[in-house]
Amino acid sequence: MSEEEAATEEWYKLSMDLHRFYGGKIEVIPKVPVRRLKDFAIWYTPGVAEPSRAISRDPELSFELTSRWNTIAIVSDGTRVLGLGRVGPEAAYPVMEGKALLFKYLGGVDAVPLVHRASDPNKFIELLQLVEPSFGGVNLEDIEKPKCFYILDEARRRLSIPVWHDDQQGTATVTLAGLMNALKVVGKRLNEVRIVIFGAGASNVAFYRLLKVMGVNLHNVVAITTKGVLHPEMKDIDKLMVSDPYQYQIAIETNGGDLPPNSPIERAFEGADVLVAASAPGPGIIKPEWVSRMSKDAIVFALANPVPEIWPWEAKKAGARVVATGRSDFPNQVNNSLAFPAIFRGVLDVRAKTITDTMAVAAAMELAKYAEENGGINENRILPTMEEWEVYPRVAAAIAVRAVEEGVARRTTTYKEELERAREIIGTVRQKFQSIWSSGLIPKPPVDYEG
Amino acid sequence: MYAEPAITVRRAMDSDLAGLAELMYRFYAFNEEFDPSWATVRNLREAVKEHAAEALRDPSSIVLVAASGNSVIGYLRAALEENRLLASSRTLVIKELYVKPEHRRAGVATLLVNKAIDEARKLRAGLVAVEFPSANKIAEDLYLKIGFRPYLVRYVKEA
Repeated sequence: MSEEEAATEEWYKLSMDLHRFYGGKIEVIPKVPVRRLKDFAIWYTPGVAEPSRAISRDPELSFELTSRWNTIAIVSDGTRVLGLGRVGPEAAYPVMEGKALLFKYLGGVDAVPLVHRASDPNKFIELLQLVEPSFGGVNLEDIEKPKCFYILDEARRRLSIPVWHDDQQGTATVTLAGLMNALKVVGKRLNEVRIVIFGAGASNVAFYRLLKVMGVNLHNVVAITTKGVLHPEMKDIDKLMVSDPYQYQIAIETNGGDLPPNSPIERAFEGADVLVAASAPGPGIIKPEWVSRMSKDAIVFALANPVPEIWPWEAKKAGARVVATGRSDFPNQVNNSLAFPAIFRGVLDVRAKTITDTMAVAAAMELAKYAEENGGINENRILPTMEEWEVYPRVAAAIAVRAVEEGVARRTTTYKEELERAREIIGTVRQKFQSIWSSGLIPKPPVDYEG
Repeated sequence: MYAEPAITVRRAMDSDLAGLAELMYRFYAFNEEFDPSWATVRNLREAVKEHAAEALRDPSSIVLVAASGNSVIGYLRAALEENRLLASSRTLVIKELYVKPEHRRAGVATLLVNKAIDEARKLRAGLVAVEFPSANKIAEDLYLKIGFRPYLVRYVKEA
């Protein structure tokens, strides 16, 4: 066992012990005064009948008079959990609970795990419609492809609250932010570079969609899957139209990056400036000789977890100048935790009805700008880290303002106003948490890590 | 949406045979997806050449091609069917239609179908029909959009 594997085993064991010890990770705690029994006449009967009547007359008031405005569902059918595959809804629960913890701690968002058995896509969508009145937003998580694309598209169309699939849009948003800064570092422009998309799963299909929003010339994009280069003249293209319409669309729109039909994979790397790989765990998935065919100052994103498609040092040796991965122990971590808490903070605060792709782009731009303005950017810093908590109010403010501009918000705000509000909400959560922790009400872990 | 002006639709000629055979191959290879009964013969590559040549010779068949310059980018094959007991005795049935992926969503299929309707009128056929595997939702959407309606249902059972 390598040193790395041994360390991972340690985390597994510690996590198992502590999940058992604490019996899960989140709970519901009141946020209103409960001084004596009489208070319940306000919060419950008879008083509560009045807000109830008011909401019945105008359901939109549920965003003002209940916690709905700050509550989202984290929804999964457990069909593609982490790298574990189809483990079932119960097994998805600890992951959703962990995500809820991040939502609250980083974004001040109350998130409720909602794991279910409706793995049929239409049932899944129906379920979202049925529970919509409980929530101000929906975060989809760990759903297999290609149904995850259909579920997101349909749910966005049918629901009047924001629906976000973090595995697609979250990763894509942070990838785009990282790419914007990486391009600044090497002095290239997004609309002039040649981009290789390696793997056409959830995040790369969404990343491709963001590239379209950015107005990138799609014939400068070439996408590669296990079937080779996605190309209109590829074998079985018609079958792809039925089995994966999203990959099919990429094949047609990019025209295979204008490469000749049946071009080998290495040909796609020829003269490419950017590689965004989100495919299968490496190492050895991306060959160094492919990277060495890229142009000068190549940018390589190898985002597979737990091991990137190519080790950063291999990519650098092959000529890459900026390398990003999904891991926190290497520079330039593309981490969707940088985006989703802030994105929901922003859209919930303006009671947005949806999150458009252009709103995701606005979030990416702000994320990139934050890194540049705070600490500067270079080959080893194209993105901020999760510890820079000021990034969250900034991104929240950017996306909230964009929602207002696009007319999808139920409330209006300014950048400055939302920045203050988000700082206040997230800051308060951190204070509350600190206060509960230091009071000793959360028992100390019986086993712990070092350092 | 309309096809780019560079694309023309016309009756197929002998010089189109090679391109036509390639598209017929793709049509049958694709339809195989939808139902086991559409499984193709092993020598499909060879068989489509014969099929294409026959279709051009057959007086009750109409073969149309969509051409961009010298290359065939789409085709339609239809056959005339008669039932003298019906007032509308003649029907032109579209049996095959295929457009190359890179030329889709540009209205080429609609051009082909409209041309087939013109041909049907010339042949005094009162109806134009189309056949496709019932699982092919993409075809269903296309024909409904062009104004076709469900008409005949064919059930099958292994003999």
